[in-house]
Amino acid sequence: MTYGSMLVSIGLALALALPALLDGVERKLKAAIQSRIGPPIHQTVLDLLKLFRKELVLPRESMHILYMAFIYLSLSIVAVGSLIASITLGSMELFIASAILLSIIQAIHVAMPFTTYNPFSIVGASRELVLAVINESALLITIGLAILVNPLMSPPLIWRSTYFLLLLELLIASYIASGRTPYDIAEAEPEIASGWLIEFSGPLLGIIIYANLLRKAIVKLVVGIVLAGLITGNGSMGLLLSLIAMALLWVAYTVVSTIVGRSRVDVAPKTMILMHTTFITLLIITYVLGV
Amino acid sequence: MGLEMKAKKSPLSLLTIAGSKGRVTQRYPFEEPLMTNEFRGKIEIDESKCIGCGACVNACPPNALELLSSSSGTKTLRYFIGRCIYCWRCIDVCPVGAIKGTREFELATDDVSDLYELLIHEEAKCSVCNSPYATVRMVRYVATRSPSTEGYVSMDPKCRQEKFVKAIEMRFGGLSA
Amino acid sequence: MSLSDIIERIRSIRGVTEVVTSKSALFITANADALRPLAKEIYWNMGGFFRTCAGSDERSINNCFAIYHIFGLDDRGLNIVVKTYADSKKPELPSIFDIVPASDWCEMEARDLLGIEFTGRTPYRLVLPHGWPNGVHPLRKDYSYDSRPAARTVSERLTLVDTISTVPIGPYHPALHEPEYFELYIEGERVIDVKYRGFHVHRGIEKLGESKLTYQQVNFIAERICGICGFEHSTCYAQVVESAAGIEVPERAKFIRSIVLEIERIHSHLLWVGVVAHLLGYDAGFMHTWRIREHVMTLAELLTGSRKMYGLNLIGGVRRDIDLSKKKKIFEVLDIISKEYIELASLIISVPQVKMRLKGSGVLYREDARKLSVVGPVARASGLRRDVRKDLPYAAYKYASFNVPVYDDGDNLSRLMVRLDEIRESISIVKQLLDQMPPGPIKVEEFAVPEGVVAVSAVEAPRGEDVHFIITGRGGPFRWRVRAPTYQNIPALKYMLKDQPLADAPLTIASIDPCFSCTDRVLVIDSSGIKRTLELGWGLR
Repeated sequence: MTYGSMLVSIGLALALALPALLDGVERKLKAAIQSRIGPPIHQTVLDLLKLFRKELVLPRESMHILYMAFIYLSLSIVAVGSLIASITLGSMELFIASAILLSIIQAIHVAMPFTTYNPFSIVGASRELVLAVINESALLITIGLAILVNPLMSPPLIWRSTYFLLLLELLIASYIASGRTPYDIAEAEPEIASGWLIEFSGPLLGIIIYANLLRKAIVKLVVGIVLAGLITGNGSMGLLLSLIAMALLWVAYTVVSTIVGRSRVDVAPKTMILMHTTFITLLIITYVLGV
Repeated sequence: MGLEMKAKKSPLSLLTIAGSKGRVTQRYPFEEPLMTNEFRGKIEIDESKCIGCGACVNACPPNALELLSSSSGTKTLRYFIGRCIYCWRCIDVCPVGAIKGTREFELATDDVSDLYELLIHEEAKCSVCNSPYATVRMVRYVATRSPSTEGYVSMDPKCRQEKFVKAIEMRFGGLSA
Repeated sequence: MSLSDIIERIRSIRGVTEVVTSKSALFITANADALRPLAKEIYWNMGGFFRTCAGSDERSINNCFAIYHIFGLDDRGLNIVVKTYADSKKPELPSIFDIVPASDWCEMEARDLLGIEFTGRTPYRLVLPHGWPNGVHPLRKDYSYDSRPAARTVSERLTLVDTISTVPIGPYHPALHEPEYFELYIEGERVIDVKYRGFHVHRGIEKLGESKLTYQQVNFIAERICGICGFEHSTCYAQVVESAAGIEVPERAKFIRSIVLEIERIHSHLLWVGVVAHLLGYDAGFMHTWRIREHVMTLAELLTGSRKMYGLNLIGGVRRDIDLSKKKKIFEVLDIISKEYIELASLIISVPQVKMRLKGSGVLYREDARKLSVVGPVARASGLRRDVRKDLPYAAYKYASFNVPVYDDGDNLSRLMVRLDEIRESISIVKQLLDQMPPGPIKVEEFAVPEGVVAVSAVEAPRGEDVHFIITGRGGPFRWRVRAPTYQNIPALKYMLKDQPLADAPLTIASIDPCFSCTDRVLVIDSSGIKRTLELGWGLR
């Protein structure tokens, strides 16, 4: 076993174990901002374990949901793994592969509730679809631009404004992709009663929640990796910095989501399109001008 | 009074509010519950003082207090905690002050018979027709406080009516007068 | 318009047989054919509002059914009660629904519960479930409060049109804390029609009050009509009996009642602000608002003995006094609340998503509000200046000076602002009343309630105007009607929800501050299919 693959294994193990604990930290922090005690940090782990102990109840004619859930989970794990490997080994190809995997994961994430026979599910899924189409496109474009801007994942000699804009746009896109207020419209709107999550229960819900946590980790890892690539380069330091950045971003996103309210389904797309086109245009302009 | 609302605060000021207030969760049941001294919990009936008059039974809105007769010459005052709404009206109306209010509210149990409290009184029997009508203690209570009733306090209401009607008849020579 | 003018105009209508004036109300007896011209005259020509109508089974007294329509001339502080009789075998009365749209529900309730038919309109079953047998009318005197008819469970499907998709909200829905059922007909994300089916939590309170409870006991059941605004229900009930019996409540008791009423208003509005914040996804606002509310709840417990369900009112006064140490505590708590509340309120309304979602959504125009006689903050947010504390002053409100906030936009934001302003006003009222509280007794010890007296009383609940109507009987009420504020406001939802985005629907429903327990207070049915969840066995006969 080479040094690199050992690092990748350790990194993968951390990246798979951390999201559940970070979710616990998120809940604790949210509670602190709301002046209450909140659940203990390992609560999400306990919740997932409890869900896996329950009986499986599937909505009618929905065996396909079970298959999709497993694919969702396995692809998420693979995406996490390839992200970890990309920064540890300095492989841009793996990074591109992770980006592609991310879009497939997003597609399955929308498809699962869409094919459930529940009006709330379908309403939630259609809202998720609208948000996902806009945001994922922006995220993929920005990742593409990141690859263009820093193809070797090594720190540049001088910091151009392109890098700052790149990180900013990535932050925005990844925040929206992580499904938090103000853009948790698909799930948390009270009138659609949990939206896309509504028909899932028991172990199926456990799988989906965990895969969802991994998705949150993936979008933050992407930002962390681009940042690590610009600061320390690839290798063990890059891996460390990416993981630390993921954890810090998780905390920062929590604070932001607690202090704002939820947006509305007709206003949210307009706001997103406006933000993304502005920043991506600025990004391209500064890159072309070499500023 | 200076209570104007400024609509220009930044959402971040929430963090300062939360910081200054800390955590307000009560760790009940590992901590004392948040309760004042005025809290109304369940009642306690003092056996030695209760006279079985039934004033509390009449006042109780949900019928948590009931006065039940039995064939063995006893009247039972039954307090069913499950129906009690802790209004303490019974305490208001008790003539002898036999009921005391407590601050207990942790009364959940998995056996409903825990929630019944029984107070058994001896029934008084009418001296004329021997049918039960009140409790011995109540008769004694009325008799000691109001000696003018001694002529009829040991009779039940029906016999009292008959005696009264007879007295009128004897006085006025008949009712049709 | 002077009182004598009003009486003259009313007498000039053909069919009016009797006009009696009393301290706060005008009692009119009229024939059935005078009902419609009277309604038009009072509601539209005199600018009055409609409070409610109460049917009554008076066959044991004068062998007929009666219906009492209660109007109010708010600017004169006068209640007008119009009594009409209906035949005992086949009770029928003309409907005033087309003249007074606000009378829709109470006419249908009288039809369901007493069997009085209303001519000139399409009837529908409002209050009883669909499986309830025809011809069985629970509120009639020959129907015992604990009898159970052989009803069958019928699954109700309100969906009439299949091409439009429907999103059900309720009866079991995580967004709503009480069961009710709204069917929203949507096209895409826009609501085009609303159907409401409520009355899932009928509990038989009016029937209970009329059947086996004494006057003093009814106070406690009146309090349990609502979990949030219970005290104002028991105050209104106590006031209506006191008005019927001519009992003069001591001044100190009136002050205590007003103080506790305002404390209840503060707690209710804080609760509502938290709920709205939660519906907008701003959970932090919800948590902090309820944190502030905790101070009010603890204060209420200190004053009355219980955080809610105060049990403070009796007919003739109140049961507990406010001594000096409690008075000091009230001032302390009010100081804490006002500081924190102002800070938090400014924070909540400046969160951009909150402002964006509340502004311009769920609009209720002034004309619709007037037609439906909506009450409370809903009315005041649509430009109608209606507040019972100012129009028909009761308890000790005439000793406090306060503003009534009125906004004109009629959207959700206006309703929020009305309530935020009202909290401030309530804090000020409590302080003023505490300073002026006179010494003296807190209740009348002996009184007698004569039989057969009709009285009406209204109280400004946190949600609006609450009206209690009573006909006294022996030992207990003969007919007791409660018209809670949400009962009057829900029909307005149909106008508020139309053409709005679906996302705003729960928000709009929540913005009228619905209290469904208050709304559904009539008879509970245990049909063969529905399991009774509480089997206490011994207690229930």
